[in-house]
This record gives sequence, structure tokens and C-alpha cells, in this order.
Amino acid sequence: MATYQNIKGLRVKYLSSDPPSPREGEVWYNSTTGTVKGYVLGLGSFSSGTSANTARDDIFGNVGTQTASLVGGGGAATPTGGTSNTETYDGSTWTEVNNRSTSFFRVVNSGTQTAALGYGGYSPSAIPTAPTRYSISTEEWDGTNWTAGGNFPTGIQTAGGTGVQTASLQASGIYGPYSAPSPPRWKTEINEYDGSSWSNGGAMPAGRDLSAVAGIQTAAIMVGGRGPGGTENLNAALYYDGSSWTAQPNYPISGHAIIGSGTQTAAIFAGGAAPTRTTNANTWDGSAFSATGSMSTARSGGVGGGTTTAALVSTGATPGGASTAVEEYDAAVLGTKTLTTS
Amino acid sequence: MALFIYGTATNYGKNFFTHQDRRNFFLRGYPAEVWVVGNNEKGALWLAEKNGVEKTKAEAQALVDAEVEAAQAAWDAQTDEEKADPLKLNVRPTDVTLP
Repeated sequence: MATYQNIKGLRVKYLSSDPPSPREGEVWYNSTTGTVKGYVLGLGSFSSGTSANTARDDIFGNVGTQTASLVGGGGAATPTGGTSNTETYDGSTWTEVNNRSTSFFRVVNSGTQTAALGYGGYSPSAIPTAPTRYSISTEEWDGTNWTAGGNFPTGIQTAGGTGVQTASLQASGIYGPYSAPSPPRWKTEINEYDGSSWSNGGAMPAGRDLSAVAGIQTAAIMVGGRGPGGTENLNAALYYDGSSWTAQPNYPISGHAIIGSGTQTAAIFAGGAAPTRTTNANTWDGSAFSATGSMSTARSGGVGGGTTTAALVSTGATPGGASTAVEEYDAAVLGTKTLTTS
Repeated sequence: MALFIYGTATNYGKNFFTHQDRRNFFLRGYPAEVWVVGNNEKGALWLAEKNGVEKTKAEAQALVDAEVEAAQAAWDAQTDEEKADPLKLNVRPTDVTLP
């Protein structure tokens, strides 16, 4: 069996107190506490953020950063309702701002706190101005108001999306007509927004919906989702380079409505459902997924934001229903840790 | 010794649980503001500091069940058309079992 001395060329120090300035990887025996300790990198962790004002679920995508984010629209607390409510987060306070003009749920938010998009969605009941089931609408947020942007060619819901307002990527989703209920269609089609209109991007290898997408329009990663029919939960991860998709190592769990943010090569994904919701979280470093500290509450959907060093998960569906809960992720930090065999 | 402490506490948001708390003890939130906490000194202290009310596992499970049953009843009250969601997203809330 390898020993610390074999590996490090040193014996474990026998100290009466923890060293004041340990080096990364240093291990010692604290004779006062009777424990073996080390100065090691721990897992990243989620702490509680300020709860949003409005509980919502059925909202996807990522917006801004841990200290500058937004949620607009999504599912209301009732089983079948949608909300137009919009609020912004500054890292400590949620502020009610001007609402969206539509009340769809299963919508996507993307962009930044001052230049966001809200698009797609679903309305189970006729609303006076647009008796829509699959939304074709895109709304642009300028930091103060939502205004109409370019419509989708066909209605879409349960989409994944990322990017900025003038270069956004919609990938995965269920497509249907604007004006009437219809059988759902899972398609390989994806769409790219240039700030005024949507056009087709490079098709996915297979149709899916409710995938987490992180990164930008020309360098994105997509994780999980559901296959056509909505019964198979996926763990496949794919890269998009602006024109084509490339398979990556599988995500550690299969699930849909996972919340993701970050870049193509440094992303964090949390939660999801298969169909039981999970607290599971993983980071992606461009070559592999690594388990990190889990969320405190299982959830699927919700809006992500930020990076692998400082991320945000806002609202979403928990086992108790639509939630106001927010969790903030901070990356792993070096610290003194008691080492055990468990 | 039991692995977990069960209790209720109101999540007031920021700093209700910190990164250090998450490193110090197991923490998991459930419906009805039920929290399951690792049964160690720091976990117990956290629940006390949050004005939490400690429950037995059976009591905590009953609270969770009541909230989930309410959500299930709300789902059951939908029309057949709403329940028959072809997207398979409108699923009946499932029972939650505490660890």
C-alpha cells in the first residue's frame, strides 16, 4: 500500500496545532484534536440566495451573472398557469420590474440583466390577444422594458437556449403551430437570433427538448434533455460550433430541465428530473464532467447564470411545486480539512 | 446514532445556509420547509440558530406528505384534457420519502 511518505517523500508532520500557512496538498497530524488534517481543495458549494418574489417553474435558460440576473415569465404557482412577472437580481435583492407582455410558461430566458431575451413557451388556455398553444413570440428586454422581437417561424416550447440578445442560440425544443393544439414534434432543428430575426442553425443529430445549453451562439455545450416522445431522459452532451454538433463525454446522470450556465469549456450544470428531481450538480472543464457540491433542494428548470466560479440558480420546480428559492454556487476553495476514510 | 436531524425552518434567503454550512454538514430541503440536517454538532447548531423546530422523522415525513398530497390534489382537480398532456410534462407530483 502506498503511504504518504512513499508519495511525498516526507513523513506526516506531528503538530500540536494546525500550521498557520499550509501549502496546497500538505497533510499533518493534529495531536490536540487527534485528527489527520490536510490543506486541500474542497468541492464547490451552493449557499442560499435571496428568494425571488414570485414562485415560478417551467422556465429555462441562463441570464447574466450571480450578481446581475433576471427571470421573466414562466409557470405560475398554479398547475397550469403562466406568469408575465419579471424581476431582476443584484446578488442580494430581487426587484420587481416591468412585466412581459405575454404570460407563457415553458419559456426560455437568455442574455444579460440589461439585454435579455424571452422566447417560446406554451399557453394551455386561450388568451385574448393570442389564442396560442405554442408561442412564436420573442421579447427583448433592454433593462427597462420588454418589446417585441422577431418571431419564430413556428411555435416552440420547452426549448434550451443561451447566448446574448444579439447572438442567441435556441437548441432543443418541441415545435407546433401557432394557432391551435397539435401533436408535439421533436425536431433536430435549431435557431439562431441575430438581434432581429431567427434563422436555422446546424441541425442536431437527433431531436430532443428540455436540454441545458451553456456558452455562446458559436461555442455552446448542450446537456441532457428528453428524446422524441418525451419518455427517454438523455445524458448525451454535445458541442456546437456555430454550424455543427460534436459528441462529448456523457453527462453523469440522465435527465431533463437541468440548469446550466458558463461557457462551452467551463460550465456548471445542476438539478434536473428523470422524472424525480435531483440536487445533483457537476462542472465541465472542456474535457470531463466532475461532481461538485449539490444544491440543497432538488429542482428542475429555473434560470441559471454566471460561471463555474460564481453561478446562480433561480426559481424552478421543486417537489413541492413552483419555487422562489435561489441558490448561489461558489467554486471550490483551498481550506484545512479533517481527513477521514469515509 | 441517527444519521440525520429533522426539523422545520423558514428559508429567509441569503445566508439561510452558507457555503461553510454546506461544507460542515449534510443539508437537504424538502416540501413544507422541512430540512434534513447531518446529525453532528454543527448541523444541530445550524437548525437551532435558524429558529428551527426539531421534529421526529415521522413528524417531518407527515409534513412533507401533507404538502405533496395537496399538490397531488391540485393536479387531480385538473381536467382530463390537461392531465392527458401529450408532452408528458404535466405529471402528477410524486411522493417524497425522507432519508
